[in-house]
Amino acid sequence: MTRLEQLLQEVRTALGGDFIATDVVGMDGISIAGGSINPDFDSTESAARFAMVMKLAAQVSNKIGIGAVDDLLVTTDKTFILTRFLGDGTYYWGLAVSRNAVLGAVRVLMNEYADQLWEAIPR
Amino acid sequence: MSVQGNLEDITVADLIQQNCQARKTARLVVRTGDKEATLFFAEGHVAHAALGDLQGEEVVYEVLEWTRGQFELEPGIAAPLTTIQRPWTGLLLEGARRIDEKRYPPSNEASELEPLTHSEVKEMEIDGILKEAADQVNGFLAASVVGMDGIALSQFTRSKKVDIESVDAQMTLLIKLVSTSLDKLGAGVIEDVLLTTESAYVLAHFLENHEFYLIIVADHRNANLGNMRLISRLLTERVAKAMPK
Repeated sequence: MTRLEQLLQEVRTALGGDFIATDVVGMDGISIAGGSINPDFDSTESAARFAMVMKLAAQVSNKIGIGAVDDLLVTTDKTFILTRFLGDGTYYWGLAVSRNAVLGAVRVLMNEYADQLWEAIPR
Repeated sequence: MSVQGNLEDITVADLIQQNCQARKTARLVVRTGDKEATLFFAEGHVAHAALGDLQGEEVVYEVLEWTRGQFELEPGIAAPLTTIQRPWTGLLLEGARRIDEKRYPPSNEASELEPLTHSEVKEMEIDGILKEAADQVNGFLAASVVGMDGIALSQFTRSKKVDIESVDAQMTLLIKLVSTSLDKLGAGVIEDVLLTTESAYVLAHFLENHEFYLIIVADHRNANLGNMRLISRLLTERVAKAMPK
């Protein structure tokens, strides 16, 4: 198991039953680590679609002059989907959890692991 | 199979809303006295309307005034042409405005006691709710109620740094892409989208009908995210109730 996969496994363990999917994704929309435990949540498709969303979020933020994007949180009736850029913005990290998850704790967890994930990306 | 009924039981506005929200393809024939109008629904829009030689939006506005008569809805019949571009919500709002205007014609002499139209009262109510957001959200910069065409129904801003019209238009683009992505992923029905940046939180919370959303922009340094999400949810419910029907 690579360091990156190990870190994602730690995140998954910390989230317990609320975990749905997580991926570290290049801005080309290809995931380099992660996956989904829910067969109804296609991690590969999610990685590609949210790469487009993150690119547009960066453009939107730039056009309205509110600085660089930290993260994006999407709430649906079933899930929280959190995405944030890693390092220099060439990758993003996506995490989907159930609506039962404690959102504050999930955000703290992402803050805690974001830099470590960036460091663990093979170069 | 066609559905028939009386306008005393269901209004033309309700028929338009139901068919557009359900994204049905259908033909609606409405009759009152010796007049007969035909409306066509397609992909969540009123695509075409005709009444004698008259075609397009004006037909919809006239039919919205009919309170007596019969209707017949025939599913699966496509519009022969497209004469209407305006979203159905815009048609209903404009129709309501015209009905109000006829009911309370503007006086030639300006008077402070001139009665407000129903739409004006509703707009003032929404303006008031946005001002409340300014008082209740820490670090508040701006707020608006925006349609999915990116155009605001109401706006309120406290900061010249925020170009709220640009925020409305750009966030609508983002929300549409997120919404499409969620549909494809089967990840549920979107409730809100929060964009966190170096200097701001931009929170967009959908109204129940998903045709409009409430957007609040707050200063990242001074805002409290929990407070912002809570206030946004509460105010969204009130905006939904205050929306002109």
